[in-house]
Amino acid sequence: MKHLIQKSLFLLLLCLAFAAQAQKFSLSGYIKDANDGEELIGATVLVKELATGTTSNVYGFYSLTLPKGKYTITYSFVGYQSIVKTIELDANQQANIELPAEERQIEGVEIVAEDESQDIRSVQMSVNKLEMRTIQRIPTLLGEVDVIRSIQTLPGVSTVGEGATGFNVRGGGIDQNLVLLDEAPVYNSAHLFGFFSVFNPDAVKDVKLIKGGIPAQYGGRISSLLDVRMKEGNKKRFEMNGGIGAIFSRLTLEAPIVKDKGSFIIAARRSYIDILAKPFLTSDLKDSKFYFYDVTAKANYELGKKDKLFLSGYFGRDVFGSGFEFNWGNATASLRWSHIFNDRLFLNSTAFFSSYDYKIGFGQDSRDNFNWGAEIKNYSIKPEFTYYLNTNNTLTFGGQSILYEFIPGKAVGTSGGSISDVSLENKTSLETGIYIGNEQKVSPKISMQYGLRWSFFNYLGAITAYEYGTAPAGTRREAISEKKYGNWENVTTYNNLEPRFALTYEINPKTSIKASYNRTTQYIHLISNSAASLPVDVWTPSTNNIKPQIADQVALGFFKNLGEQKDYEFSVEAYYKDLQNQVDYIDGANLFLNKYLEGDLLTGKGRAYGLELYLKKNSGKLNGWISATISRSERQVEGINLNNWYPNRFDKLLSLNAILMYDLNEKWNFSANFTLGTGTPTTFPTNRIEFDGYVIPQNSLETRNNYRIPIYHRLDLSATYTPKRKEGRRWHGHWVFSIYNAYNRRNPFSIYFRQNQNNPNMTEAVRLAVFGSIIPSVTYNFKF
Amino acid sequence: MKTLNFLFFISILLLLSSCEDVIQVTLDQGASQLTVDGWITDQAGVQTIRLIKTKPYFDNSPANPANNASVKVTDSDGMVYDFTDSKGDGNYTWTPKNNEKIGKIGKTYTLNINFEGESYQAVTKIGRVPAIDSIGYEFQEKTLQFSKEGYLANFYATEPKGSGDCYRIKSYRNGVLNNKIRDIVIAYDAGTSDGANTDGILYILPLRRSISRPDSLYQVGETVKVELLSITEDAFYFFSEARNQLNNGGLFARPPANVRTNIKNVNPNGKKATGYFGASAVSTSQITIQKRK
Repeated sequence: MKHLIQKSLFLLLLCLAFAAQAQKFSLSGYIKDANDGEELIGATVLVKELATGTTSNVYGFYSLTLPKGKYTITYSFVGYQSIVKTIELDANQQANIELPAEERQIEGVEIVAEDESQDIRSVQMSVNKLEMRTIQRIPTLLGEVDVIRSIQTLPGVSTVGEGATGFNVRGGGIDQNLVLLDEAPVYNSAHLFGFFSVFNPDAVKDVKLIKGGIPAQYGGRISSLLDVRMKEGNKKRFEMNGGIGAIFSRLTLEAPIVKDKGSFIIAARRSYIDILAKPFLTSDLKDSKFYFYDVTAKANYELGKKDKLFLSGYFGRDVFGSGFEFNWGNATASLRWSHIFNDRLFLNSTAFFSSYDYKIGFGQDSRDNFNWGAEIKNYSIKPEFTYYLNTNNTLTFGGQSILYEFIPGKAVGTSGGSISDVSLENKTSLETGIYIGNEQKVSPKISMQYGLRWSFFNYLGAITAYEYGTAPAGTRREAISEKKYGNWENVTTYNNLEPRFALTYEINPKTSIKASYNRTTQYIHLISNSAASLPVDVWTPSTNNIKPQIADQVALGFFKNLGEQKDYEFSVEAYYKDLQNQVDYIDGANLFLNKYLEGDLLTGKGRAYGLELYLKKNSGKLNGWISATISRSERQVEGINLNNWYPNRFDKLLSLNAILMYDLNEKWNFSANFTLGTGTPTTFPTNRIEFDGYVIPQNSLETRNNYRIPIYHRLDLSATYTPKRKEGRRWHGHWVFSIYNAYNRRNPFSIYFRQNQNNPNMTEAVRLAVFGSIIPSVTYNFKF
Repeated sequence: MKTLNFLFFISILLLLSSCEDVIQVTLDQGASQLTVDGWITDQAGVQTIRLIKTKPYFDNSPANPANNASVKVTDSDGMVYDFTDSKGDGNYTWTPKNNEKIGKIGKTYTLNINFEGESYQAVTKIGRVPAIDSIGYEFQEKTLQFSKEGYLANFYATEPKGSGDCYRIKSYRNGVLNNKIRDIVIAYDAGTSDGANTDGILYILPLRRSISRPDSLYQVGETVKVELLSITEDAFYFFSEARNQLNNGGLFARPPANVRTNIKNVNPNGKKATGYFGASAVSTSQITIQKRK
């Protein structure tokens, strides 16, 4: 292992040494929106004379190192006017640029072509970016703009069905996605099960999904990274946004703290079905509760030319109750400091806290009740450096340390006045990663991104660690010995080297091929064995019995732009993933409040492979995209399916999405979303066992996932009406009319088997459709 | 899980449109296996062990009896009880002479079956059971949870000290066994699951109340009978798994899995069997509901 690290580091240094050359000067700065001072992510900086360039990073910062000379620099970004500057570079220079929004653009409507070769030249593959203005136009359920539902329209992304929490990327589980909100992980991305996501669209600036070729700076999950960046707030003037919809009402306020120096944004949403329903409820329902809300806030301040501070947070909760109380939610807080050491060295340091917890209580009687809850909490620091070595090399290095505290079950029951506490021990662990990576332009046609991440994991005391005996495959293993560990005492340690590599070969300015390989490791696992993940599912660390999950992915892609101005972009990507230490469960596993949980877990291996096609039209009155994915995701676990490979619960052979948007005129625009997917696998019985008057289904072949539920397809439509803005009035609004499930298909979520209610001897197959009708809605959004 | 399904139901209600409908599907063919449906008790009277054969899931025809089997139960004292199928309907019975009883707390029972050239065996044990102190009831108004007013009955019993005892709770309304899926009520110590640390206390409220149905509470004049049966820990898991498989729908369904059996073929490579052979000691209590506010 040591050898491998040394070798890799040596290679890396060699590349760098090769890259470092003669004395040059740098040009750096921030690229912002001229209207509200919001930093722009991924804006392009092009040097005409050298036909080279760069893009601003996630903090809006860019840096270019060029030989002494006179240059014509073009700054551009989607939906903004380009700015061309002539620069005499004879010393290191700072140039902060503010791009004005494109004039002809209708509010939140246009998709304008970005730099024509960005996606061709960029070394990253398997990346999808969605602009908020695009997300806002996708037809939605009950008119609520939703980040998670929008990314489900991208190639390689799917869901097991409506109402299911999270999303599946390239055949991975929902817990294998690292969902970051301003760098802090969000452990449950859903409100109301999976119908809505926790991200308030009014506060989101940018959404990026990385499915493969994951750079070395990211680690901790094996499938994907969803990077959600919050808006910083208008730096120029007070602004108010809001909306009134069928489910939520939203209000967002943003304003400068000190003009052009600091600003804040605060966005809140609350569902209000309960308030609307109150007058109609009978007395016994009056005290029932059902609502959810979230608050997202962020503030930033420029301490000087070189330092910026950001403070952001999220708090959301779902609350249900009627004779019982059940609530759950996430909380995150992050403090970020970005510092420019010099024109080439940029530091971004983040400290964050994140938690997810739930509480359930039954019984108001003090003599008979039961209260149960669980939580995952973590604290982290993450310094990340970017060193703009020269025009051809951008070096990134840094590390991250996460301290986890798991509270897997806190439960106290009272029966007839006797109290019994069945809480499980808390678990503590530390995850650390250090990394170094480089993005290198090897030649005008070849770019590479390579790096290495070294991750460590310590499972720490105080804890009782159990050792389990052997049992026939697929059955419960009993604990045979236990050992107690003191506070911070090390129970088990894991470490993994994670090489990352990506290569782009630009055949011509409109065509490129890309390849990537990455190894990723995941040290925490979501214990969930239901068709859709539950809010009560518990996270667990890797332990002496649960090994970290490891994934190796290779991907190959072909990228092509068509038309004069990149009117169309097309890509094909193929991937193969090999997965180790996948967690599965014995039949009848007891996942809650079970201190011997690890004896009910099984370990297997997985594989996933697929082909993703993506065609996007960028220009004209009609635009949109079509994505198609052909894929497989399978597992092999000793003790399941007679030890043969079987399809994962979220395996989908084909999924297809088409999004079309049409701008009729300045007042009206329309959009449509069509989605189609192979049914997910499920297990059907063969026989019936009649026992004690009950008819129990049985699969005597002992196969898992031997059937598929029928094909899923759905069409959603929406129309946006933007009345003409009155002269001199700041208030303007628009109406969104949407129809979800337009042709009223009853798409099955699952098929299950039961005895007929009236004739128990008769058995039947039941199709459960989450939506059995057309769902129309109207939303009014405003801006002031 | 019930609460979650209820929540899901509310959420869907909010969205106003979930639906379930019965559809036709074609299933794979599986081999037919022997099913043992046998439970003996410490009570007086005829004891029955029913042997049938599994058949395709959608086959609604009368059960397929397993005839011409030899069925014997041997207790840990070496007493052998022969069960015979006099009617040829798969019900193998043993009829006591002179008030003789098979079941006795603390004894182990071995079932031996010879059927179609295969030999099957199952072993079980009768554990202790506490007496039921009383059945109480109170008037309950109509609410969201209780769709019609009536009397909500509870039974009271204290679980004996010493962890690991399991029970099944059966209830009868006017002498008729409540036999819906939710009437499969089992207890691990005084709670509903292993590791709930409920040893030696009053059975917890959901168990005490399990004899009442929220959608049809007891009315004046009706009788309520409760049986508390001791079962083995393995039988507890058998019922728990059966209940899950009988009611495994919705958004949060678990992967369907075969329910365990304690019927083993003596030849490990022989044909498999299904079902369960169990034995219980039984405590009983019965009351008649009287008008009360």
